[in-house]
Order: sequence, then C-alpha cells, then structure tokens
Amino acid sequence: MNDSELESLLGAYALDAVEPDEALAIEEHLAGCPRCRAEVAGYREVAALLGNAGEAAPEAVWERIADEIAGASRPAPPPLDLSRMEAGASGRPGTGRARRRVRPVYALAAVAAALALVVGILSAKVADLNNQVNAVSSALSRGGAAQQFIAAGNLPHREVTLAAKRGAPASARLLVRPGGTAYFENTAMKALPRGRTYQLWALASGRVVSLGVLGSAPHVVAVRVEPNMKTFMVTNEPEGGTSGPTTPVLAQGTIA
Amino acid sequence: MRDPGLGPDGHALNADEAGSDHAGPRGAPDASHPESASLRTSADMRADLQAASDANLVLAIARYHEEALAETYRRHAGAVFGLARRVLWDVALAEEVVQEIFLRLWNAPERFDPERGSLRSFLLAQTHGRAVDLLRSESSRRDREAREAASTATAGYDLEQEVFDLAVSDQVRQVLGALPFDQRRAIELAYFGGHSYREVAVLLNEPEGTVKSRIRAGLGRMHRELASTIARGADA
Ligand SMILES: [Zn+2]
Repeated sequence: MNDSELESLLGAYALDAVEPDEALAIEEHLAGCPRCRAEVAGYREVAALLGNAGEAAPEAVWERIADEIAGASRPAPPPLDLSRMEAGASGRPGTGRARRRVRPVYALAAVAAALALVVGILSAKVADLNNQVNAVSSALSRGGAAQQFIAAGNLPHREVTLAAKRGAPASARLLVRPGGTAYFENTAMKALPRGRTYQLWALASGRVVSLGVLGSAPHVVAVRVEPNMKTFMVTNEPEGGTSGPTTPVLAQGTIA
Repeated sequence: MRDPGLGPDGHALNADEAGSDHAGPRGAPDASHPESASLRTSADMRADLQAASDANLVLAIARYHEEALAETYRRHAGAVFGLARRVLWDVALAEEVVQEIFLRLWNAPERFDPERGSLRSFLLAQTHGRAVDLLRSESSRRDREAREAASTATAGYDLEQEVFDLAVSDQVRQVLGALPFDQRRAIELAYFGGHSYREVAVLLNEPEGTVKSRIRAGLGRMHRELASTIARGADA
C-alpha cells in the first residue's frame, strides 16, 4: 500500500474495520507519522462519543476485578516492611524482634538495603513510570514551577521537611498541594559532580516509586504526589535517574 | 447512573486503610508510621481521587493504587460495558470484556498515552477492538447472525433507530443525524455491527473504495463539529 491508499483507510482503521494485514501496515505508518496519528486519535474521540451509552458500571464485575488484582494474577512484590528496617537489614520477617513495632528511627543504610529488595522486582514497572512522571514533572516545570511554588506557600498545603536524620537541619522541603501537585525546594543540598543527579522517591503503600530526577543542582522542581504517599526520600543517582535507589538515602521526611 | 462508589467492594476507602491497600499481598501497612494512617480521612482521599484528572488517575494506577482504579472504573466502566454489550449483544460476554479492559489498565497503565487522546477514548478503543475480536471468532459470529436475523425480522433493519436509542448527548445525536445517510450507515455498520469495511461494502452493495471514503469523511465531519465537546472531555 502506498501512503495515500493507507491514509484512505484511517477512518475504517479507527473503527477496527480493516483487515489484519492492513492494520499492520497502518500501524507501521503511524509509528512514524504524527499527522496520521492525530487523525486516528480524533476519530477515536468521535467513536468514544458514539459509544457512550451511559450505562451503569456493572458492580459485580468490579468485585471480580478487585479479587483478581488482590489475588495471584501477578506476583506481588514483597511489602516493604519498615519495622524490619528498624531492626536492621538482616532482620527476617516473622522473628519476634524484627516484627516489633517501635518508634521510627532513621537507619539510613538499612533503609537503602531494604529498598534494594523491592526495587529489583519493581524496576520494569518503575522504569515505565519514571518516563511518565518525568514527563509530568517537566510539563509542570515549563509552567513556571518557581512561581507556582511561591504561590503554594500562600495556599493550603502540607509541608514535609527532608533531613539527613531526625532533628537534623532541613536539607530540602516539599510543599504538597491538595490536588497532588508538589514542589520540591532544595535548601541545603550541595551541587553534585557532573554525571550525577538528585532523585526524589516516595513510599506508596509500602513500595518505592520515583517521583522524578531533580537535576544536579536543583532549586525548585514540581512533581506529582499521590494521596497514598507519606514518606519521601532523596538519593544521589547517575544522570538520567534510575528505576530504584542505588545509593543511601540522603534526606528523608514524612508528612506529619 | 448508579454509582458503584469508591471502593465498590465496600472497604477500599476505609479511613484506617487510607495509607495502604486493602488488597492483601499488595498492601503493606506503613508500620513505622502508625500515626500517619489516620491523618488522611476517607473523605480527604475521596475528594483527592474525584478531583484527579484521568491522566493522574492512571499515574496513580501505575503506582499500584487500587482506589485509583476504582475511581477510573466508576467513571468509565459504564461506557465500556455499554459499548461491549452493544457490539456483542451478550451481557455475560460484555462483562468479560469489561473485566479484561480494566485488568489490562491495571497491568499495563503505561500503554495509555495522554498525548494521544482521552482515557475514555483509549478505553473504548480497546473495548471495541476486543469486542470485535470476539465477534469475529466463528462461533460467536453464528450466534450473532441468528440474533440479528431475529431482531431484523421484528424491527426491520433500522440501525438509525438503534443508535438514536443510545443515551448519547443531544449534540452528538444532532451531529450524527446531520451526516449524509450513506456516511452514517457505513459508520454504524462498522462500529456497532463490528463489520470490516469490506463486509460493509458487501452489505450495502457498494464498492469498497466508496465505503472506506464514506467512513473517513463522516468521521472527519463529526470530528470537526464535535471539536469543542471533545476538547472538554479531554480536560475532564
Ligand atoms: Zn501519515
């Protein structure tokens, strides 16, 4: 098929009304042609309006979905057990001492070691996520993160102080707005050498996820924070960022 | 429309669980910060989720946030179900498609690219593709032909009426109604009938080239006329 034959099929393609060999040829073309991609996306928006039959969401199906994602459909990453970190990275789950719930202490090396346990399993997922988060983060930055940051100071927000250890002077802070936009502000972290970057992480329901790279000498960086994120950490990583922390946590804080 | 609620399972948003999943192995209680769990009430969290854009819900899903999937389900499962049922003419099969589409979103949220359109159109495109796959499998095709024969025998071959019975907005209805009849019929046969443009050509006894141009022209015209509706939807 030449390009014009192929383009004549874009409408039918958007409605899944082409033959499989035609679909393949079109998809190959779409990969390199933003104009045709936009055309198909537009037709799909139209189709979505036609298809909107406004029915009730079937409740019984949600039950099945919830069961499925809670069950064995994919291997669950091991939970990040913070009580174990407090007891030291060698603590094993199930031992009385390791399971003891105590006041949190900042055992940074232990945190990093425990993070490493989770990160291997999550890395593929988190790597994908990183791209998305970075895209969101850079989009926010383009909108003038510094100005928005200042505005956030006068609007409802939660402030998280990130420090090397409890009671230490703040290394940085995070202002979290109710909608989930957050502004990271570096207050005392020194510029990193070439080839290194600071990276911001969050614990979300027991998992470590990247909120994005901050650069080697960050001032203010906008990031997205989800409601289930309470604890935030900064590490020093290779330029471009990593899918999981590879160095000890430099600063950490929890929403109070 | 009935609201299955955030956490239609009845406990996804309990305040005690606000900081963690209720979902068994995926939920790890934040043991070092037992005080933090009570800081955010379920009302806080519901407000956050309800205020979140679709794109941010998908980001949260990528972070294994089950409540975000529940909210996405609340917003879009009705449309997914409606389309699947409309194409498949079968409630049980349509429910399977709903389950599959939302599990796919859970397992591969990165496949949704907000640059390429709204979440609704992404989910419905996947729904349509899956429904058509099922339809084109030989056994279900025979079933459907039997059902279609039964329905056309009683109601006549009136696709126009079927589309107008759908709860589409007045504006969509108007725009669809204003299309040249040939364009509308080709689009309806392809989209709701799950027919390829070649099959549509046979059904309408028209050349294939004519049918594919009519589909494209009709969609293009609707897209221009619905541009503002589409732009509003993408912000939602
Ligand atoms: Zn092209």
